[in-house]
Amino acid sequence: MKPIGCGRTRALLLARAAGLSANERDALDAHLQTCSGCREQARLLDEIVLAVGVMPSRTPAAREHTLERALRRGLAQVPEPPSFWKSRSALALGGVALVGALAAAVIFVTVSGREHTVQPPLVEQPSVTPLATEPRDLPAGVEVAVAHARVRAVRRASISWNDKAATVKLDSGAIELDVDPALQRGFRVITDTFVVEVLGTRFTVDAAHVEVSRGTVRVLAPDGRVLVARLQMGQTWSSLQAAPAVSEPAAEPERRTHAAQPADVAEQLARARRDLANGQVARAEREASSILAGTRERRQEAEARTLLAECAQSRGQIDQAIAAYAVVAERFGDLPAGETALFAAGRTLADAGRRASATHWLHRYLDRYPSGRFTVEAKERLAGFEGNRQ
Amino acid sequence: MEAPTTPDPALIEACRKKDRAALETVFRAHLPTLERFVAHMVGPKADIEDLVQDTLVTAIAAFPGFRGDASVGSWLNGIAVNVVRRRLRRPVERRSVPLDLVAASAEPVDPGAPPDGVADGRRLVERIHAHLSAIAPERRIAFILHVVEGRPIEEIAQIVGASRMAVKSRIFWARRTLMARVRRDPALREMAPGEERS
Repeated sequence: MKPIGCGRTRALLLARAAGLSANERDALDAHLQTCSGCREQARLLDEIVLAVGVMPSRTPAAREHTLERALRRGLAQVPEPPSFWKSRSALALGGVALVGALAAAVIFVTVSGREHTVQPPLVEQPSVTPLATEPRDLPAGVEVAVAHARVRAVRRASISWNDKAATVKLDSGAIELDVDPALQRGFRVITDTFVVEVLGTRFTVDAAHVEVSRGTVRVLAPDGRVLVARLQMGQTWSSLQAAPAVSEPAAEPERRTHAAQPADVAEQLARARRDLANGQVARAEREASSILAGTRERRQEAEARTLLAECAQSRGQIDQAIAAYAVVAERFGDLPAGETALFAAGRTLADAGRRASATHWLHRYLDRYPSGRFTVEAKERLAGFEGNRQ
Repeated sequence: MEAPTTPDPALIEACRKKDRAALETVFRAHLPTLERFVAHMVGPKADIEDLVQDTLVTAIAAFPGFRGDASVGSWLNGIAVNVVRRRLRRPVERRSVPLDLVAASAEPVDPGAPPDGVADGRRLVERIHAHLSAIAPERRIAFILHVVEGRPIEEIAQIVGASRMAVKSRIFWARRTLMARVRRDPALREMAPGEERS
């Protein structure tokens, strides 16, 4: 095997994801063993690739929605499905089929410490700028008045609205709304992934996020489960990885989450572990996420985050699992969970056949825990890589 | 990177005639790959859906001209690159701070909290995407296609309509720019302690 220099090594590092020949891999590994500068480059690229590779996974229902909407737009021959406005009663009866399938959320706004669940009232006064009930494109920056709210397209948006219901339906793009609090009237924004009910606040909505500029909101699933207890001014909430909704009454889960005692959390953790062991990954994720949303000890947070990493791993989402393990390893390096997470990252990558990354993480483990609980296994795995190379 | 199913010629012909069922079949097979592709380009933002939609709408209009020289997957990716390129060239219209970038996170971001660098995977993702955003679109696209998506230089050259040398040059400069920015970022500096030597 011909030795290679730093320049060639860095070219190979860039090309690693595209695949290297056996000779190239061997030459790269040999150079990385001896050159600390290139090792750092490899580590940095690993981190960047992991960071860029981490992304929200979309549900099959969301994907179907994208496909359906694109076909409708592209073919421009299929009529719009029955208007939401016409099917409101079905929605109210708990149909919420589309929204529910997409892990919809209901957002209630808390104003001045009081929580209002606002029923959209009838709006007497006409809109300043009439909008059609059929979807209409708004170019970026264009502002219109709908009932008692100003609606501005943050980027090109397709919206329709119903004046009587004081409701805007957002089909695509992003809009910013400024609802006049003086009128004490509700306003509703519907997207395919959640519904926002507001009373006097300012916020931005797109297909998956709500960003609050004024006031405080909380995010609920349609069945009442609290997804985010308080979303304050300046904060953003994303539905992209919100856990699927479960059927529980509205206030109950929030109380349980925020008043949870360490013993309750321990029970939740045990339940989540059992769920994961039984292959109930989604349930385990929900339990772990619920723990992180409430009061918990540091040790319990570490364990909950480790569980989420294991859930991602069991789904085959290796990069997400590594990112989660990395957080646990860095934040909780003084706890056993931190040590376990650092080794688990290396072991997971090794099991996935990503030898260069695994080597990096296993070395990090040995550097930090030279006499750790997994030192022997880490050394054995590294020796195994070495043996395979020779 | 190609979707697992290779559509038969009759299906493609039906797509050219804008047959809805055929388009649906072909698009459904390629949608996960396309979403991942777009997400890698723009980061985990909400407009991924808009960009994927725009890609498919453009593809429907362009299907009659699809000659079949490249695979459908590569052809769709080429359209996606153009859609994303237009998006990246537009001025930033709004700052989006996606929250749930790592599986470990279920909490809202506290914008007032100080960044804790690599210790926080979520902020690491945000920062790296911010640095990637600063790279010229053509270089960024080539870098992500090769280094993150793992596509061979030849395929990237075909997708972006450039020579192999141009693609390699873009990747090289994207890396240089990215590393330099990361080294200047206090929160990320510990990720790249060494100076660039090549």
